[in-house]
Amino acid sequence: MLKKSIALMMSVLVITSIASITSGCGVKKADVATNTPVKEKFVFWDKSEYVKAYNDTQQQKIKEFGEKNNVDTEYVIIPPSDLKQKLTAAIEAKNPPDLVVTDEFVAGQFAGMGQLVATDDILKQIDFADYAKRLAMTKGENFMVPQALLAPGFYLRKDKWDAKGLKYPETWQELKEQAKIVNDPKNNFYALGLPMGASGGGDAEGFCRSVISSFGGVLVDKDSNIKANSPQTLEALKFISSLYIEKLCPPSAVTWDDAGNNTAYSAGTVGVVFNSGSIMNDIKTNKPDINANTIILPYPKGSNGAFSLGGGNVFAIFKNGKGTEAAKKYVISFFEKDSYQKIVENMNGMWQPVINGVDNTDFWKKAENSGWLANSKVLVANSYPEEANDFNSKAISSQLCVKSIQRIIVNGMDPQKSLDTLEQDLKKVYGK
Amino acid sequence: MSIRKFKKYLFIYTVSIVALIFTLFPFYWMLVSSFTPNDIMYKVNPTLIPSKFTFQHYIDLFTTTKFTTYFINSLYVATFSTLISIIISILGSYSLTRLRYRGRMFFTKTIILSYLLPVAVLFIPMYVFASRLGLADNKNSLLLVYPTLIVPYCCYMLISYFKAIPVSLEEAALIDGCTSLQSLFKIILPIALPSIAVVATFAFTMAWNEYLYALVLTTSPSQQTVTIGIASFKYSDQYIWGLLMSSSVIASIPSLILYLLAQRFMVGDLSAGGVKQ
Amino acid sequence: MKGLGRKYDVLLGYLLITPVVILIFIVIGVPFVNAIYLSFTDKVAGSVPKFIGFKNYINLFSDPDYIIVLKNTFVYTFTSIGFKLMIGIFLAVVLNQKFFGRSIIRTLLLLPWALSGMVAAMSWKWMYNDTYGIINALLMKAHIVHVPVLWLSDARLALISCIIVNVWRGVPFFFFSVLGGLQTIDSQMYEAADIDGAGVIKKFFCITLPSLKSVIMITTVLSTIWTFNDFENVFLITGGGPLHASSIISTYTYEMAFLQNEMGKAMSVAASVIPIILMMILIPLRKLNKEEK
Repeated sequence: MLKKSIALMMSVLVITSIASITSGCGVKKADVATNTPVKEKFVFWDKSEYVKAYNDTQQQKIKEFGEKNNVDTEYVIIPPSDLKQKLTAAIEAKNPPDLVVTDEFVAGQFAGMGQLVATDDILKQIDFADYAKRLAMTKGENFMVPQALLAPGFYLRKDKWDAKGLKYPETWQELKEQAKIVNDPKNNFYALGLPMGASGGGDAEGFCRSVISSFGGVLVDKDSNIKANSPQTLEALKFISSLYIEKLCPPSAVTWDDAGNNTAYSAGTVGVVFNSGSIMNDIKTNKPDINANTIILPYPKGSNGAFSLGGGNVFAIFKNGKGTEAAKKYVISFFEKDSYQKIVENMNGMWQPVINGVDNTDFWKKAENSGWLANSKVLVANSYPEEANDFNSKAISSQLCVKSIQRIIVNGMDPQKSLDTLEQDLKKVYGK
Repeated sequence: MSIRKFKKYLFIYTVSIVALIFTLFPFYWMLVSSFTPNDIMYKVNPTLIPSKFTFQHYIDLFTTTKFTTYFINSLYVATFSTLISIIISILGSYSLTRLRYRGRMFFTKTIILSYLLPVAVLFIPMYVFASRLGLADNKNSLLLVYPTLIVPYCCYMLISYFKAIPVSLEEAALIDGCTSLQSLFKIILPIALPSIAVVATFAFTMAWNEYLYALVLTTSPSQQTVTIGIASFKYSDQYIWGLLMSSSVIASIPSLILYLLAQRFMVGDLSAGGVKQ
Repeated sequence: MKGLGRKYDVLLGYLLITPVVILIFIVIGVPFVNAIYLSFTDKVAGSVPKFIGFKNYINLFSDPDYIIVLKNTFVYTFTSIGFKLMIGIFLAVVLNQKFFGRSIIRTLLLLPWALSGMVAAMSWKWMYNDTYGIINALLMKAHIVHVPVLWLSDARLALISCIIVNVWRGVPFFFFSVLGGLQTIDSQMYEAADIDGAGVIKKFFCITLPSLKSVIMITTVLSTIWTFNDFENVFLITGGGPLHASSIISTYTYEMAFLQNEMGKAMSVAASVIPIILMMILIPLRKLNKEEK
């Protein structure tokens, strides 16, 4: 009886394996050869934005584009946390969307998998600002089209600083010293709202790398040599860890995802956050008192200057989509100066423009917006000083710096040991 | 009332109250938050009863989002996948417990195959499979896929419930000339009905709350379900708590109604059981 | 007559089981085999997988994170199941009695199961928060603690916090299933025991529990598998942190697949625990079958 069951099981397994391997050779329902040209279909997966006006505008534009160019259009809004799963599944099934809007480091990973169309022809036709051009690149080649910069800002609760008669911090050390004075855990107020969770997201890793760069540390240099294990990086890691060890950040920050600092700042429980304009949008509408007490400052300096790291949204066109030409046309039409300007300004400072000639308006002259614009022009890549490629995309996505800090503050590991592990992790990613 | 009875009821009610507090507190918090205006949403010292009250989140939910579509889709998908699964499972469980044929034990054991790999790993190959059948971005693909989650559960529960029903009941009918199928419908089903109601209720909830398969197998808003709708209220770094809470409250209602209906079968005495030796 | 009946029954047997078989062997079977195959490759999304044999599996055993994750999964699963079982049976027995308000109370106790896993996780995450969470607020007001408890960020508490939520969500399943099973117990047995003068506790252990054996076994096995493979709960509450203190197999798989882009490795993590799950199912089932004979 046992033998018979095993035989039956084996034959079933064999049959199903054959079925799964050969099903790849099946004819897809869509591949029907006809003589009449099928109307082109253009599928666009857009990033879902808190500012609804953006998605509404985009939907309208898509509809008009479809009518004008006689293509069928499909516009879908995808929350960013779902995008990677859906894209991966769609790529595997060989029916990806044609056009996607997402963060540049996410798109970079798909470029690394060879899934994106090269975009040199599009880039030639639009006057992109020099400082925005890097968003298009990975491995030195253009696979994406910048849509908007998402510069982070240094938010500070000026009422808390004013109450203690402190001037606003210009260096990291000043920030730390002042944080100690403003810190008030007994009354549920922590000076610094710095996320350090490793469940995905970009805030924490971006922060670590900003500090490391401003202390003069280099993780991977321009020529892709791993230089992480240096005294400067060690000092940076020690500095960051001290902020948690000395209880200047809420203890739960070590599990925060990207939304953690947003919620904390809006709740009024932290005094400082480094975040994009999304928080600005939120408090302007929902927490006017916190908004009135917020000031946006330039990034603090370290011994090597101030570095704000970040990226932005990009358009990515997928190779195996069926409406690739339509996608390219649409992207070009998106950057028509007047409509682009309006779209960007509707985002209330959270977005900064990537093309020349749209930022000399009253909107950007306002005090509350000019800081964001200035930040966007000095923003450097998360992979600084190395240029974006699949290795550093993976390193950033795996949050290697965050993990090195977590080892120190959660496991009490010696900082040098943690740095050694970080170096090893980087070597593994880069295949060295 | 005798002292003994009083003690008994006291015990029952104490247990109930403690259980209710622990069980309902998060739900209470969800309900309260759904009526809390945004400006006092994340107060540092939260109070049990909010100072201000608003319907705005519910209004926004139904007017500014596609929630109604999602809700209807979920109703469709959950109801039909439950129905399909229950029918398949009743037939299959009867076959596995009452009929004798080669491979019976083998099939019983292999049902569990469905649960060996987590959905987090299966959903991509499953999407590829569904896509090759032409079912990508179609809520009907869920009617095919959800039974893979529900049927094994239903089968195992029904197998144990069917086994608890003595064979003697059927033997009488079979001797009288009933076929096996007739005995299934006329004897087994009526007795097992309360158990089937329980199982169907849980099956419905499993289908209703499922996330990963719905995420990849549906893309257009016209196809998506309530769980995707709720998830869409989380942007990259912002949770819209008002909409999240109000949508969750609304989304819990169908399951609740089902439970209310189903637990009427839990009579506590044996008028529904009818199992007398 | 009997001979004809048996042949008919055999055909009927196969016929009735066919839909289940198609579902299991094809709809699940194909993706399942695909996933197992991928675990032996170096698959990355979009690329053509290259067969690398057991390399992924061998690397797992030298991965310290994997060992931690495996240990966490066992702790998470068995602790949750233990509590869910005890509380579920207790509630089912107590609330099987007739009393006023029974319907409403039973329905309300099922609410945690009715809630979507995602929403439950997010609500609890908010309640657990150390600065604006209601749990700490209440604990401090009642002077049970003086400083906020770090439910989510203390490496020792993170997994426990997830377990609490899992138990909260899972008790209704045990409660309702056992309640269903209680309906089929013959009241004559209780009446006979009453005549013999048996107390409540004796009746429970000698009549109730043995009659429920089958239901309890099945419910426990199912819940164990589901808890073992649980994803949303842990991922949304702690993300597996801090530093894998609360990471379980499913969240580790997700991390491999979508944060490190290593599909092949992710599949191997998931597949590596299949033998364990199989054992958890086959051993109790075999015991159950033996007892029937």
